[in-house]
Amino acid sequence: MAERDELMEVIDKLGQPEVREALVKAVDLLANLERSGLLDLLIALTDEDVVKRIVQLVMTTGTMKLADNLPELLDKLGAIAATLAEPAEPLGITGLLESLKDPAVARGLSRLVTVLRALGGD
Amino acid sequence: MTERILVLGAGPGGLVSANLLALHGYDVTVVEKSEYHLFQPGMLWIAFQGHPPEKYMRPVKDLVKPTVNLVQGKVAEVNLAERTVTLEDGRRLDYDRVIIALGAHLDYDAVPGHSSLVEEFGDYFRGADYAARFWSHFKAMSRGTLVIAAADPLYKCPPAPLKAAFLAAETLRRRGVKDSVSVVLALPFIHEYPSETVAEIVAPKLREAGVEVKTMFTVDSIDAENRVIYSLEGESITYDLAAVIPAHKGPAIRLLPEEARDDDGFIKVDKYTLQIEGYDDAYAVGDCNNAPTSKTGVTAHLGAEVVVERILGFDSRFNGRTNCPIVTDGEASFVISTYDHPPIPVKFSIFKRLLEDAFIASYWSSLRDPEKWSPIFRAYFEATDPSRVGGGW
Amino acid sequence: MGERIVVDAKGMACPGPITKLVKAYRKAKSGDIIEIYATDPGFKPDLEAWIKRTGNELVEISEEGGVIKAVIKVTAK
Repeated sequence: MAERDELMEVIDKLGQPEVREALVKAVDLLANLERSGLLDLLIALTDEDVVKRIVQLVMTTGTMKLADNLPELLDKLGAIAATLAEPAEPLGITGLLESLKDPAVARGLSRLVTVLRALGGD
Repeated sequence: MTERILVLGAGPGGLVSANLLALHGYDVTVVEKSEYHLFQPGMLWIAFQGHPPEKYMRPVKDLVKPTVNLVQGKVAEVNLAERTVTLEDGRRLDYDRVIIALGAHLDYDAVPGHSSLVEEFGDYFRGADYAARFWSHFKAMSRGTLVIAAADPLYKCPPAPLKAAFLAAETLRRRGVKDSVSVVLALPFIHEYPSETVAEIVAPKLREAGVEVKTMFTVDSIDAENRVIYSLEGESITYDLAAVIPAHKGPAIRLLPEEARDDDGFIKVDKYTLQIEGYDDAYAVGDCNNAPTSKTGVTAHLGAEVVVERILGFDSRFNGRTNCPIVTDGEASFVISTYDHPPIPVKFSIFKRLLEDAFIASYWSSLRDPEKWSPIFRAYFEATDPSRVGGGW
Repeated sequence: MGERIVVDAKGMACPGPITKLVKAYRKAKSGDIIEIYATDPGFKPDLEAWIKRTGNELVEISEEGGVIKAVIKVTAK
């Protein structure tokens, strides 16, 4: 009885025009995927062993930390990218030493050293 | 003859055990008293944000694999020596192995006045109907004091009252009545969380959300008529609306021999194998056992996997891993610990909230087809093991 | 003369020992003595905060071989 009700619910849904349109589009999409061979690829991707390998690749301690800090990282990358539009003056060793008086530069250097430490660690 | 395995209870621990064992050709029978399985954390969203209860309920029959036998009935007695289980209607079931996954018993009689309080206002522990009742009171609240408290330091999902406070504050803010309703979070701990590491992370978030925290407040009695809660530590709070987490005890069944339980009725197990002390054919998984870890769905799920692997002949061991989510407005953190490692510092982030959203979305599927999710969960738990991210995440 | 309640919370990590103390305290009467043993180093400051809040009497606190022993006289009930 309950199964019959569920079936009726599905038939009712088919009466809605937006549901029918969505279904037609979904069928078109599937046909396109089939023609391009991507559907076979997608099916292969849902295989248990393949899922396992993908997960091993993407779910690591490093990626967990990376994803967690993505907003901060993208902020910094965005700020760096914005500076690329400005012209850069050549900087000598005296200029480098001089610019270290800027607290922001000094903090950046400290970050760079931290990065180096992470790069060189195990 | 095929080995007969009885699984008592169709919560996360019972369903994961039964569905995994069914894949390996055992004759598996699940005994469950309810027709529906409730995603228990959902009660927080029903009670404090008005979600429809149906969203968090599924028929048990839709959550077991077709080869699992489902018996609807209430367990009255488990006799470990005779290998029998008796149901309340008198039916008797024999087994070769038993997995007890009956959860904790919520004791509303441990604190005077508690049953009157829960009947009046509902809460977010007793069931979806009680959570809906709580919402019917909370949604109408426009002034006064909302108290979120606990009758005992040991209860399911240690961050539950914190989540309740965050969700309540969010709803009050959205309704524009945050300034006229005070949210008081009264906790039986020394700090804002049992672990000081976690307390330091949640304390500023609670301040930000405008939640007033009272520590070392273990509910001792409730005067439902005059609306006052008294603490064991000698303080009192007046409330307009309150939800008090009940004392938790071992499952309300007759378990023989009686020595198989501790003082609070929890079933004594080896914390690594989850085998009931003295019986190599009996296990207790999840909230009903006395393993020194948090009582949560995650520990039940992971414990069930260990028990199944042991039945299959592998020397698997449960490491006590927890992954209790703390959810605020748009962000989340997890309480991550193992038997060997106290909770590590885990900061709140959007990514963790997305992970939690994904965990919730995969809940039903992970119970019915745990084998599909095992590799994914395993990779997550390994990547975030305290020994790897000990310094924090 | 009150009863003497012995609580063994050795090997329990935070918040184990305080949880056990609260459980014992719920059952205790005025005049009882609670004797608790713990190995969690966080227990000492936690216990001091608890004593201060509840107003019970800390009769003795000592540490030997990594085991903290605390003797509490129930006076606030």
